[in-house]
Amino acid sequence: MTIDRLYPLVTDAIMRADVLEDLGAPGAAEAQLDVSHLEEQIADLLPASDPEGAIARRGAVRAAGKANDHARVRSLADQYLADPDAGQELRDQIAKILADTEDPIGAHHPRAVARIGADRLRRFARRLAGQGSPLPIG
Amino acid sequence: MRLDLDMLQQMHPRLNATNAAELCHRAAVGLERHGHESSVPMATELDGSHHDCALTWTAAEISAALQLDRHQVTEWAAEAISLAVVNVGLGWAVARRGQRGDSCDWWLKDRNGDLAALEVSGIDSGDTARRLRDKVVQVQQAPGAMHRAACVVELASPKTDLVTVAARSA
Repeated sequence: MTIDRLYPLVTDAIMRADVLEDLGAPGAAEAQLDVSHLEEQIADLLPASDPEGAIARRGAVRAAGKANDHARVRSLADQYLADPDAGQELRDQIAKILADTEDPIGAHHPRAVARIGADRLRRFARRLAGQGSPLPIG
Repeated sequence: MRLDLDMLQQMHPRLNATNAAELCHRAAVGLERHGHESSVPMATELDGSHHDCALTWTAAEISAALQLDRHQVTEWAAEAISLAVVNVGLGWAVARRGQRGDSCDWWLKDRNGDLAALEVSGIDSGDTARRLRDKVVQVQQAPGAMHRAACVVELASPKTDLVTVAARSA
């Protein structure tokens, strides 16, 4: 497929995934996986040194993370980080997406991690989740 | 300046017809819930330069608003209007949608084919200046773009404030 065909498709897929994500719909992860595959196809057509190739590579990894497909995140990140055409800025961006995906607690609560450490924060989150709802619901 | 939202797909050929129609529909719903009718005057600030625009669209069914999430209507209405403004005002056309987390909502091309990043925000009413400052900071981080712009649309007035910005130096 060509870029002219893939760009409208990825636009459509991202808009659909965003709507499902906002709704908290069960199909959101699957929709993000569609986005990741389209981004990967775009990345296959454009070199990493092209800004649009870089957008696609970041997008393929990020959307795989949103789809909770950690094996795919790692596989794509390894592939893109090994590309000799990838500049340092793109490598740093992909490494950050990879780190955020593998350590979402650190990505979402950086100040809490800095203050008490990621392990302690994870234990605290698990205990909080384990104690159930503090108020009767429904 | 005349902004015809029904021409969105012609302005941006890489938007498919369904996405363009969906954006236009939500813009119609968002504008009409504030009592506006097609051909409403819209104050538009383009890099500080004032333009009086006439904003036109195909009317939505009254019941359409009930089927849509209010927040999404505001956001997509703002995106439809912003895309019309950047096309008519700056000559940019959509390349593709940006992902959340990539510093911009849309990647576009200027008349020379150079990459441009556009970050959009929509509100029903309120402080657009502060929102615009936040969006400028966000879009300044869009990597690889030759041009960057932030646009805030207020539906109640309606008004649009678009600024082009330089990349933030490292």
